Amino acid sequence: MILLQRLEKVLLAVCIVVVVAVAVTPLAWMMLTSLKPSLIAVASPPQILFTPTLEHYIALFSGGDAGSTLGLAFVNSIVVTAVSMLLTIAIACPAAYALSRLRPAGTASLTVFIIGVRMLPPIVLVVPLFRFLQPLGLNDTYLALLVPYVGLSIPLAVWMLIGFFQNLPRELEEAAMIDGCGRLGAFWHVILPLAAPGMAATSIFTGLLAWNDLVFSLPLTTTRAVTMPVIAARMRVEEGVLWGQLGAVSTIMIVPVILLTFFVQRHIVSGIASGAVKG
Amino acid sequence: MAEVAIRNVRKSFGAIEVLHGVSVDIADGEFVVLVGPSGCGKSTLLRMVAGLEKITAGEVAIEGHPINDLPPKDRNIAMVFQNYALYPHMTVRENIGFPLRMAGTAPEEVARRVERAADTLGLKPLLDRHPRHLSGGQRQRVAMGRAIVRQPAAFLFDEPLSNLDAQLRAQMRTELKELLQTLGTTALYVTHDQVEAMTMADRVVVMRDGVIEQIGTPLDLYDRPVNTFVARFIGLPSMNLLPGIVLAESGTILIDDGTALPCPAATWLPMENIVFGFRSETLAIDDTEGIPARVAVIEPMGGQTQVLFKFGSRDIVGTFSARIAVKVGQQVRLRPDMTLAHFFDAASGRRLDGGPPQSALA
Repeated sequence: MILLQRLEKVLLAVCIVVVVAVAVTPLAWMMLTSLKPSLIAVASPPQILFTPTLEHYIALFSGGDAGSTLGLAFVNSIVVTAVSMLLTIAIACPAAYALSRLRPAGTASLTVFIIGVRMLPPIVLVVPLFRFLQPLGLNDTYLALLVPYVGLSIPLAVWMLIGFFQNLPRELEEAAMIDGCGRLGAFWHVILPLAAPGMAATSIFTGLLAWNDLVFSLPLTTTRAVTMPVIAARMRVEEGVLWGQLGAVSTIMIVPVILLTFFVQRHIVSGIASGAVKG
Repeated sequence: MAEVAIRNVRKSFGAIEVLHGVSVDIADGEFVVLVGPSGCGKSTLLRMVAGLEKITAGEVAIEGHPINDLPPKDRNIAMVFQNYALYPHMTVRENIGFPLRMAGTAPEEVARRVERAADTLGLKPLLDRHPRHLSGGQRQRVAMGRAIVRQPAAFLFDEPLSNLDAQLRAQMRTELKELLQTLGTTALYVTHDQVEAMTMADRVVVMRDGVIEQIGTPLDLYDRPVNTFVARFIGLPSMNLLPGIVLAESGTILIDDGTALPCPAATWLPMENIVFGFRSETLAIDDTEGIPARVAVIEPMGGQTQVLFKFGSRDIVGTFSARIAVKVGQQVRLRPDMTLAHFFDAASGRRLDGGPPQSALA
């Protein structure tokens, strides 16, 4: 019996190691590539032992125009991602609340329609968006990216948040309304703070969409509004792919994502652990 | 403090009417309990007074002013919910102070009144905790604190004790009654537990299927239930009810097995087919006369003993203050005190009284 339990533990440990390895290997490979000298970057079989070098990072940052573009792209990515997240939450929260609580006529078909928007392949929007933004002089601006990012994120955000709002006991807002709030006050003072874990989870999806997107940022930006994925794409040059620099750009890109995940994850976990929705 | 008037109030959800014209007048400072089986409309009625449900027809007035169209926040009422509805992200202090803060009360005044409410309810050591770190009874007190802190015109309670275990419920029942006696605030209290209704209320409103069956003091309901429903619903154990045929000439009532029970009321009862009822404590055990029954279950409770008898397929419950010497399976004769018995029309279930019909009660 004890042997069986031990075996179970070992098996579990093996499974965990495999899962972690699958998740971590590509990241590790990418980071290692960014530190490998160019000559052995894509050597086959891959060289495990090598003298690490920062040449790709130096090349990225010191490459005159390219260097300043990288800094700009990093800031752009941060701004576009943050604003997308905020706008999405700001729009999706009231919408989801209204759909979950007030249930206006046509709620059912409206929610299906909302998720239908999500099913649209993003690439379908690129050309019309380009043609639409060009006469307005909005190509290569933040707005050019915010429109599709927020537009595509809202459906999923609304859907996720509806679930969160429905899980909050109705009595909480009823109590708030009796305690002197209007419906908006109850939403603001009671429902929003309790939906924070839901908003955090929803934000991750929006954030990742905006941070990783290339479909919109490649055609819709050129210089001023370029984002990190565009810079990464530019590592494919006429002479081939600058694997080392691509690895470096990707490594820089991954850092904020890891930070965001840690930050938001804490909120999600604390929200669930606190039993916020238990009566 | 204020009087609350509920006048011919109706409620429909879509095409289905769940409250069919209900009227209750609650005097200033009175503690009225709405009681009835689930689905009788008592909670809906309370929520309409609170402003959480729209009033389909009729009128609710507080202090003489109709409040049908006022939002809950402008009705000057406080409500305690079954699941307490404490705000999970706020401490006890913030929870209790919330209504005051929403009313724009000055922070020092909020602090002072929260302290006072916490003092009254013994919550002082818990003020900085979050609801998730409180026991059920403590949460219940916080919910009370949030209600009393604003000194509302009336309290509304929606089954506030039903989430507590039996012992705590009994304790909180007493505490709550004491608190309300001290405050003297008008209160409307919903419960499905007739013991709560009996023990706490100044007056009880018994509801069934969206209508009021009877309004009265707890002892009114116990002593003079207007129909078999109220007779069965009020009192623990329930009133024993048996069908019988009135034999006016012999002054007896004939029951199922042909036994004739002597009954003074047989002379004035206006019909043959009746249901008569007797409380468990009016039952005596006899050797020779009365209803033949078998002892089925004996439940000693120390101070008194409750015994379930089987009369054919019918149950009869007796409570005896002395420790009685009967055994399970034993055949006995039961003699209810027929001078204290209640009589009901077998067809309609309505109470039958000597003298003029008491239509006002129906």
